[in-house]
Amino acid sequence: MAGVGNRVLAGTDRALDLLRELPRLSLSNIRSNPKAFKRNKRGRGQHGGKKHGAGNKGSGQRQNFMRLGYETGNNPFYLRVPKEPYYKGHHIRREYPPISLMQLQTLIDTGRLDTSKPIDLTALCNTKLFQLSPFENQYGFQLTDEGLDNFKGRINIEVQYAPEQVIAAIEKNGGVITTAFYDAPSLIAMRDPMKFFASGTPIPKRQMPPENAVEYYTDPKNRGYLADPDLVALERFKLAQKYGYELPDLKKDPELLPMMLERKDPRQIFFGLNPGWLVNLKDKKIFEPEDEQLLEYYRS
Amino acid sequence: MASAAARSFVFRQHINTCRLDFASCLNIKSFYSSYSANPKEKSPEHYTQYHEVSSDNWKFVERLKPPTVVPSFPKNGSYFSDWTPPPDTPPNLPYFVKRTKNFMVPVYLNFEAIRNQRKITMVKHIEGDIWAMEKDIKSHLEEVTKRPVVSQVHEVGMYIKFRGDYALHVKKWLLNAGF
Repeated sequence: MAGVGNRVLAGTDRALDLLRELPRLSLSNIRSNPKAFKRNKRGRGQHGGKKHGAGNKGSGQRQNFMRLGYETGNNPFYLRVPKEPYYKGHHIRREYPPISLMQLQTLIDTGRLDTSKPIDLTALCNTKLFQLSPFENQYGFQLTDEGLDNFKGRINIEVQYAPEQVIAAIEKNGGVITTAFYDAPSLIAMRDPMKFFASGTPIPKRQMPPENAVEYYTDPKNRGYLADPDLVALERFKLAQKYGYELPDLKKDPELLPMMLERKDPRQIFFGLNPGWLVNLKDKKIFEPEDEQLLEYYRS
Repeated sequence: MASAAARSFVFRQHINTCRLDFASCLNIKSFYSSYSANPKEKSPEHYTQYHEVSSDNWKFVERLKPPTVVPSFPKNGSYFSDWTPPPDTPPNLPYFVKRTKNFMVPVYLNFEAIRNQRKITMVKHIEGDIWAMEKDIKSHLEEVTKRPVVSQVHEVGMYIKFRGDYALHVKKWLLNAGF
């Protein structure tokens, strides 16, 4: 007789004991109710054998479908309409993610950007509010004119694309704007400089813009970094005439002047750091190569 | 037949000897796409010498360092964007809305439900009487837009959702209320 210690088990206890030993009910060992599912079979002859939804004769029964777009001898639609390649070459076009003047003013108001130093792509990425992915053909930021009337910041900014009204809004406040091109390896270094320095590679030399961007970056109207500075000064004056504002004199503020005139070399990607230099973050030291050929390569 | 077989055997032998000679004199080694057999690092004389640059340039590296915490906003009182700093004293209301870590009003426009079709305005970080706040904002929105506004209150999650894009209205209301 089954029993635990001295106790003699009743029928229910023995049943519960058995239940404890039995496998648990789970999805793996249950089955559906009988007749819950009906298997669809193609009946033959007297068991429902007729057309089975395939229709009478022809391609329905024989599956000899024509190829897609074929119109039985007509000039097909896909050849009748002329080609309109709107998005031709979209995969190799350069992309410039937008930042509006309102966003820029908010960054200044909230103390995310230091206006006492020139603002470039690194400063914008260091706010950690904007991401740039050079692997997706993104070649830097463009400034858009949203919030143009409220913009009051006096800044020295370098972006990759800016329309005329944005240039006017910045120069009206006594600021300076430059549009500059960076190649993808330079952008990878610039978007996270600390990570780049930690990798132990020398600072890359900025490459010249591609053929279809040369015109933009050499034009003083766009404040291109390859334009003649004298012509840029002339265009600053012309734009002030066009929009009807008085161009503030940069020389009147001797404290701000050196910051406002700070500009990068066309081959440079960081202010004050030359291409080819190696930065050691641990020992806080910067090294320069001595090899003649290397120096010749990094020279601008 | 036999002579043909013998001829082909001799010919094959001849080719093999030719191949052997060719391989032994040129010593060709092919790695295909792998360079693992090449030495990874050459001896130091193959590399350029480096000298240290003046430590005055280190300030330019310091300039590139991102801030480790969210910097506090300047308290000079001149703000030209639609952003205003959080007030020092909370408004005299039964509820309170905390600013985010970036000093922004926690109002968001989300796209939810099937294929991100439905616009949902969300107000987060609500402390105190969340129901009173829902009533206030809802009556304001209905007054402004002149149409019924559907809302959802989550007391434990401390947020309110409104169906529709009212982000700008709600932001403005919160700033005017003094949050």
